[in-house]
Amino acid sequence: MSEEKQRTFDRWAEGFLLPLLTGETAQLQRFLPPGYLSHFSFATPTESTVHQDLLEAFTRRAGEIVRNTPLTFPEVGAAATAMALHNLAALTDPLLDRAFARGSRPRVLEWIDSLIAAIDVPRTRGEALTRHVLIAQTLGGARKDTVVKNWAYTYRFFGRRPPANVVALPRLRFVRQEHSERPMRDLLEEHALDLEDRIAALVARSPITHLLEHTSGTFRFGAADLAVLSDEALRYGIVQQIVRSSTAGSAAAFGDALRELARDGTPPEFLAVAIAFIGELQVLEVLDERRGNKPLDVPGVGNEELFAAMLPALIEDADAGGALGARIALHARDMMALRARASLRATQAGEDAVEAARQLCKRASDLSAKADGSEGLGW
Amino acid sequence: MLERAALHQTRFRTPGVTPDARGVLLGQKGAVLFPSLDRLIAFLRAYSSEGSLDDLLPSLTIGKMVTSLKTREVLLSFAAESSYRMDRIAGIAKIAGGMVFTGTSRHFVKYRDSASPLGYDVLELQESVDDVVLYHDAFVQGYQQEGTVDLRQLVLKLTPQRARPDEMRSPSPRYWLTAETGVGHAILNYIFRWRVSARAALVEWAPESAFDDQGKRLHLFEIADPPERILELFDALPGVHVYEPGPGYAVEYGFRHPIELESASALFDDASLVLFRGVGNVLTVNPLPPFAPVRSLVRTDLGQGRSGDVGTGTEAPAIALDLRLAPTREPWRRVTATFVPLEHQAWLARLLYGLPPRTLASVSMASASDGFYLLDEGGIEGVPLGTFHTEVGERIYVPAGMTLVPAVSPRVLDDLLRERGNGFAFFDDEGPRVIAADAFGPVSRRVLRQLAPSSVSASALGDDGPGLPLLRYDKPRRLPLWGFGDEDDAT
Repeated sequence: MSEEKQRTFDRWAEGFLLPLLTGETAQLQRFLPPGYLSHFSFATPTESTVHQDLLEAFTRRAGEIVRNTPLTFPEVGAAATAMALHNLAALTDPLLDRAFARGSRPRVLEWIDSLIAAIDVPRTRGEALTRHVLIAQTLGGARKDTVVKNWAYTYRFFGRRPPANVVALPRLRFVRQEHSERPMRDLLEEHALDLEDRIAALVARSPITHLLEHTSGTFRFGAADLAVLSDEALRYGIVQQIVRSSTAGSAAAFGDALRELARDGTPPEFLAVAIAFIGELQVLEVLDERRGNKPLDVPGVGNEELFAAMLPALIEDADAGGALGARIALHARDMMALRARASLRATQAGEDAVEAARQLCKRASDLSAKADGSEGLGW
Repeated sequence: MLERAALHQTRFRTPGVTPDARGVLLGQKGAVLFPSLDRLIAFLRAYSSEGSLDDLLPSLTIGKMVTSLKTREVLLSFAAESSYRMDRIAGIAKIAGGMVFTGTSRHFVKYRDSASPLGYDVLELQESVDDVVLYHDAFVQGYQQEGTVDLRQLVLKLTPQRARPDEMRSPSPRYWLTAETGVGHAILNYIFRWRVSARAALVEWAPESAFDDQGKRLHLFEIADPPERILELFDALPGVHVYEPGPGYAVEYGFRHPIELESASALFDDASLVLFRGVGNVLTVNPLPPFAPVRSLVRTDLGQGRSGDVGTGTEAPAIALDLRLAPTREPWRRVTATFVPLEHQAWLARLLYGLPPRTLASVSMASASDGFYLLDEGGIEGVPLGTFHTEVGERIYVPAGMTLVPAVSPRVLDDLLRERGNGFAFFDDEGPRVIAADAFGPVSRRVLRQLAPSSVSASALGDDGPGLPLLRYDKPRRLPLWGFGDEDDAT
C-alpha cells in the first residue's frame, strides 16, 4: 500500500506540484484522500532531481517576498495545503457532473475539510512562505479551454487537450481551434461548486496570503498574522508586495482591523506589531512615489482616517524619541517627504483620528519599554 | 479706355479673351512691348536666369513694330498658356521696362496688375488696319510689323562678358579647346605628354571673301578632366582658347554669355557646335568633324621624329637634380602635421588621454612601421610631440624649419609627385615618403580598441520569475473514487 502511495506521490509531485511552481502546465491527478497525508508529509520524490527542483522552485517563488529563506518540503501543513488545493482544483472539472461521478463530490469535499483541519499555524518563516506560494500559484493559475469546430460539429474541451482524432486532417475537415483561459480563482469561487468557504479557510491558514488578500472580505489581524508580521523580514516583504501591487483599499481594511484590534484589549505587543506594519506600509508608499507609483491622496472616512492618522502619530512618536518612531530611520530627503505626507494625512484624517492614533502608539510603546517588538512573537 | 474685369464676368469686348480657372482675363497669347532691343535682351537675361527659356521658345516670336509715326518698338509674343506663366513673365518684364498684354489675334489688352487683379477689358474696340492694336490704360496704339528678329541670331550676336571670380563655375569634367594650326601639333604633343585624355579634330571654314587665300582652319580638342594648371596654361597661350562646354555650344573659359544658354538649349543641336569667344566672335562648327584620340595622332608624328634622331645618332643632354632638404630661417607656416617616432608611442598614448574633444576630433592619424603621422588642418600645435612638418604644397610636407632646394614652386612639386595620387608626401633625409590617404583616419578610431560589451540579461522590474501555471484535468473517470477505502477518509 505504501508503494502505491509513493507512486501517487511521485506522479503528483512531478506532474502537478513542480509545474505549478515553475509556471508550466500542471496535470491534476486523481483525488488525494486525507489518508495519504501521513505519507505525503514525509515522503520525498523517488527522483532526487525532482525533489531538488521542487525546493528550488519553492525558494524562487518565496524569494519574491523574502530572499534566501531555507524552505523545507514536505511538511504536514504544506502537504495538507497542497493536497487540499489539488482536490479543490480537480473539483472544478465539469465532467464530474455526470452519472456515477457526481456522487463523489460530497466525499471529496469532506476530504478537503479534513485536510484543511490538519493545517496548523505556521511555526517558521519557511512554513509560512511555502503555504503562501502554494495558494498564490494555484489561485493565480488558469484553465485552458479549447473549442474545436469542423465543418459539421463543434466540440468543447474544458481543461483538457482535444484528442488527436478530433483535430486530425485540419484542412480537409475545416478544423478550427479557439483557445481561451479561465482564471482558477473564478472557477473556485463559482457558487454552484460551493468551494468559496474552503478557499477562505485555506487562505486563513496561510497568514502571508491572508495579509496580501486583505481587500477580499472583512480583514482582521489574527494571531498568525501578527506572528508573521512580527518577523521584520516577512513584514517588509509583505509591505513591499502590497505597495507593488496596489494599496487601493488597504487603508480601509487595515484601519478597520487596527480599530478592532485596539478595541479587544489586545496586548500591547500585538498592537505594536500592527502599528509597525501600518507605519511601514505608509513609509514605503511615500518612498515608492519615486518609481512613479501614485498613492491614494484622499483617505475616506472612519477606518481610513485611523489608518491615515497612524503616520503623523508615528512621526510625533519619533520626534519624542519613542521606541515605535525610532524604527523610522530614513535619509533626510526621504524624511522630509515623509513629514510632508504625515502633515497631509493629519489634515485629511482630522484631529480626533490623530489623537486616537496617538493613544494607540502610547499603548504600544508600553511594550517597547519592556522589550523590543521586533524580536517577534515567539518566532 | 479700359475697365476692370469683374469676378464671374463672362462677356468681354476684347475679342478672344476669357477668364481662366482663377478668374484672370487671358487670351491665347501674351505680348510684351519693349521700347528698344536692349530692354528685350535685359528681359531675356533676367528670364533665363530665373526660369527656362525652352518653355517659351516653341511659341516665341520677336516682332519689330512700327507705329504710324514711325516709332520703332519690339514686341515679344508667346503662348499665354496660364496666368501663372503670365504672372512670372509680367513680373520680370516690368523690371526690364516692358508692358505686358494679352489677347488672341490683333487686339491685345493690358494684362492684370495690382490695380485690377482680374485684368482689364476694353471699353471700345478701335477700328484699325494695323497688324496689332495694344490697349493700355494710358494709350491705345496700333502697330505695323516691320519684320521679325530671330532669337538664335540675337543670341549669337551677344558678346560674352568676363566672369567675376565668384561666378566661375566648378571644374567641368571636359573642355573644348581650339588652337590655331601653327600651335595645334605642339598642343597635341603636350596633351599626350601629360597623359590627359583628349580627342582632336581639324575644323575648316570656307573663305569669308574672295581676298582670303584659304579658309580658316583650327584644331579642335575635346579634353577630359584636365588639371587646372594645364587649363590655365592653355588659357594664357596666344592662339589657343579654352571653352566650357554646354549642350551644343561652348563659352570661352573665364567668360559668361549674357543669357543663360543652359535654359535655351533648344536653340542649339547636338550635331553642331557653337563656340562663343570672349572677344565676341562666334564660331559655328556645323557639322561636327570626326574626332580622333590624341594618342593615335601623336604616335605617328613621334615615330617619324625618332627615326630621324636615330639616324643622326644625337642624344639630348640632360641634367638630373635631386630635391634636398635645407635649413631655412623663414618663419614656420602651416604647421599641420607631425611625425611621432615609434619609441615615443607611450608618450603619444598618454597625451591622447589628455587631449580635448575638439582636438581629438580634428586630428587624423596614420600608423607607419616606424612611427605615427598625425594631421590637423587647423594646426598640429595641439599635439606637442614628434617632428613638426610644414605644408609646402598640397599634401606635401617637409620638417618645420627646413625647405626644399632647388626652391621649386608647389605646382612643380605636385607634378614631380604625380605618382602619389591622392596620398600625402612627407620629405625627410631619405627622400619623400608617401602615405596613402586611406591610411589616415580619425585618431579616436585608430587608437581605441574595439569594445567587447558583455551581455547582461536584464528585465524590467516586476517582471521577475516565470509566469503563472495552467492547470489541466486528469483523464475522466466514470467512478473517480473507485479503489479508495474507508481508511483513506481519515488523516
